[in-house]
Amino acid sequence: MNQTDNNLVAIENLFKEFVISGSFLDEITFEKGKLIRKRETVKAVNGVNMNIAQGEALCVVGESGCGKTTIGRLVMGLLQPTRGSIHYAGQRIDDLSRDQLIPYRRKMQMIFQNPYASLNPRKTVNYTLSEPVAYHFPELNKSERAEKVAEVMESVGISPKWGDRFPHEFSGGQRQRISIARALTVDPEFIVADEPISALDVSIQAQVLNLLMDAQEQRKLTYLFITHDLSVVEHFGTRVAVMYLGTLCEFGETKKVFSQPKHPYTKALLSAIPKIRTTESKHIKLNGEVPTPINLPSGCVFHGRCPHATDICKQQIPELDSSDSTHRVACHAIAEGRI
Amino acid sequence: MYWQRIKSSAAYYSFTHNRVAMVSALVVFIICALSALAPIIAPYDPWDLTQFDIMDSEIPPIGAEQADERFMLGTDAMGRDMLSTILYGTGISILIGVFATLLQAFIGITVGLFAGYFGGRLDSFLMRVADVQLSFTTLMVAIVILAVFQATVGLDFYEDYAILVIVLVIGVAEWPQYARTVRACVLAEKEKEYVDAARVIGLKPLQIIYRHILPNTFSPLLVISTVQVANAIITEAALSFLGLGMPVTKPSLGSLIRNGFEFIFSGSWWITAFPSLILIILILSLNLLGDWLRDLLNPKMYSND
Amino acid sequence: MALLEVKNLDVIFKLRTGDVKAIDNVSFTLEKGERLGIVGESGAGKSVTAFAILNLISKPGKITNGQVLFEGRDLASLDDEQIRDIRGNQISMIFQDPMMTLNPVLTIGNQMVECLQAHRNISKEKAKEIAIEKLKAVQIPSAETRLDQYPHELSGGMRQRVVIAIALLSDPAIIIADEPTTALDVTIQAEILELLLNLCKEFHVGLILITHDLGVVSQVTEKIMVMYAGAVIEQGPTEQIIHQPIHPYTQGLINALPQQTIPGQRLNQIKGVMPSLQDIPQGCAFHPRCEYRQEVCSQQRPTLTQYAERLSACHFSQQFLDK
Repeated sequence: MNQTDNNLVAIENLFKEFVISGSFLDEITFEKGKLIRKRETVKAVNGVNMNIAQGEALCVVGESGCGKTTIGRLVMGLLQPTRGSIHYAGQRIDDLSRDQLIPYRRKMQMIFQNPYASLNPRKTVNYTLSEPVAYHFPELNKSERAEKVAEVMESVGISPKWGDRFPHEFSGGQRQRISIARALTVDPEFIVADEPISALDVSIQAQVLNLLMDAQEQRKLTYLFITHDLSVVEHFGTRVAVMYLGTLCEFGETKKVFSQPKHPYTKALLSAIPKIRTTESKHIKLNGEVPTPINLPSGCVFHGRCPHATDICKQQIPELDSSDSTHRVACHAIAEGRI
Repeated sequence: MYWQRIKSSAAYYSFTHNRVAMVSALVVFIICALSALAPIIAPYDPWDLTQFDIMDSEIPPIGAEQADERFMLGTDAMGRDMLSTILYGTGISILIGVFATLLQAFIGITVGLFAGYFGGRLDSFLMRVADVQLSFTTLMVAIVILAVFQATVGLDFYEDYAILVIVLVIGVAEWPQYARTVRACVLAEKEKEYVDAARVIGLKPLQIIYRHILPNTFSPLLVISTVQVANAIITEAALSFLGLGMPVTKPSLGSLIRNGFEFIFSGSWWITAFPSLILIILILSLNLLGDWLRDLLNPKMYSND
Repeated sequence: MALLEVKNLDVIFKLRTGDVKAIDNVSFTLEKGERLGIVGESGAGKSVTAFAILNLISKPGKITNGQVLFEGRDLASLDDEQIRDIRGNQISMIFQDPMMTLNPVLTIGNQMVECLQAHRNISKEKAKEIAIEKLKAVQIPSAETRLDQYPHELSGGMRQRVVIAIALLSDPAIIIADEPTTALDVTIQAEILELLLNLCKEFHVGLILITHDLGVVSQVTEKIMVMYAGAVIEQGPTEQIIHQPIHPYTQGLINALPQQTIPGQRLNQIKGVMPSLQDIPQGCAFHPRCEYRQEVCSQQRPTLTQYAERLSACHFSQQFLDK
């Protein structure tokens, strides 16, 4: 992989499966006179390779169930990968214990989707914000800690006077600001933002996006931005990774992907954005529905819905092509020059 | 400041607009206060053998014929003043109820938190233990333990430590109620993003459990606690009625009811009737209070906030 | 006479902290086959308006003023029996979450037959026939076999199609769709919207589409009504409102969309948040957030005034129009 010199995060051949068949006893079934152990797994992430460069905002986009949230949680160590590795600044982090991860917790933080669930309802804003400071900067005394918290609150547009209030006293947008402040209190360099604006009202979405962009500029942050909203990606992302059923289908610079989408799925996705001020809708219809991630389709996971699918698509998994490192796509039809 | 907050809260509003809740809270408060003040307000000390006289036995309460104005609620077979005995006895019943519940809560909450948070084998093991515990009824466990205990250490020794033993027995027998409630709650809370946020900060599991998850299980715990106190008081009364609870020298409400039961057919109804009445009123009020709390803390009604 | 005419509708919720006016003097009309979009943030009164039309406001809320005239009858004054004849029959509703409408323990077929027989006196066979016909109308493949399936066997997009089919069962005059695509993925959303649009055109059904997404309304509707803090602040033909909004709030909403800014630059945000209905500011409800506010805005509440084909509640709408 190129750009290795300024890679902050590198994800290699990452797999994640969730066992859904329950405990050992639930898995045992009796079939044709034999006792069989049946294990059912959801294949959430299937062999993803991705790198996040220092200072960029990498957007992972896809529809529900495509594994984008799982990737974010794997990177943050909230989940253990089934296979593959995650490196942070050259160090492998996916196999570290909780204690070994602590130094990375200061550098990597996360912003969550639901501002109503991501703040502990029984804790004041001050508690929520000073807890990470007290944990990661034990050398600070009480007043220094309070100062740091106040400074961060100010920077996200929450008055430090409101520190004694509880989350339910704030609106959704304000809560999301507090949630962002919590991530910023430890001065991180990398932030995973998991659908941070999808639960907010339209007029508030813009405020929070601006806040995230300001924070990036002032603090030289690197983002892994997970979203389903393509118009946000176009605006926010340096590069974009389009996912479908746990695999990467297109990965490249936002401008290129949006102006010349290559993968048939990306094209369909882009055409489906409801745009204002264009009366004509020319969206590309896909056949059928997203298959279940329990039994993945063979070959290219998209072949069942793809208008260009041929036999090879049903048999062989396409790889991300490496001819243009700024815009890569995993599609047999493109590799063969059919589209 | 705090008073303002309480006054503007949904709980305060609901409480002041619910007669049943207000009356039951008042009744529980009065009963607790009177029994706590028993040493001051009771005319006699029923635990002091020198203060009563067998000659005063079975005097009916005021209003009946042959009543004695020294004894408002009459006397029992030993000549003890019923009013004083009931005041002291109620205190003992409440004390046992509260401490037994505290013990249940301590064991149950700890087990529930760990089982729910760590899950897997630990969860399966702890919950099976709880199932086994629940499959023996409280009364059965209590009868066996108390009977064996009384027989081995002797009645004199038992009388000194009766409260402690009963608290232990009722406490240990009913912890699974708490464990199950807490576990269910933890399973729900664990999925919420604030727990992930705490993990992302790097907090240790124990810190997450006690600082973040535990405070969010308090609402349902409050509800079952009121009911559990009532249950513990009833269990104690039942044990005493069977002669396995508090000794007659330091009677609880249950032992008083049993004590008077022998005389109910000889016409001395008051010895049983008054303690029974107090017990019923106390239990009813506690349960009504629990009902109100459950309605108030029902998450479905919460969502309007 | 318009098919549906809502006149000066007020809904008040009696809460322990006082009375809250959830919708304030809302008026609009819907002609046969017309498609209206109601746009606003959460808490703006969009859904309450929809519920009020069907007289579904329950305690502690109450319609305190105004009329909902459907073919000349005032729905707000009908009793339960009479309104049930209209609800789900002549006016159908589609919700955000299909599982709110579908009963998880009944098959699709059972639910559709039950629904038909509730309003019409027809045989089970006939009802099944109609059900299949409607499932085909919403482009559900192999409609016959779907009748025996349970809701959980269908995907989110399919469920929403079934809900639309149920809404169409009684050939309603109006469909009210409350955020029908918010829970769906983009590609599915596009399909459902196209389907709704085509159905409305084909069967000449009136549509009231409630959404927070301006992109969605601009694709489907002919008229837009923008609500803020319980009141209508701008109303008119979709084309005009999207291209030249004359209320600063509508302008703000449109300009805040990422599509309206060059990638990488700060978005044009509206500052502040919508006030809670319990403390709506004096004067214009939007003035604390408005970048054009003047002295008069904090003192005098602007009335909804006619400007050519549309209405706007802003003291300076004429100036925006002249620009």
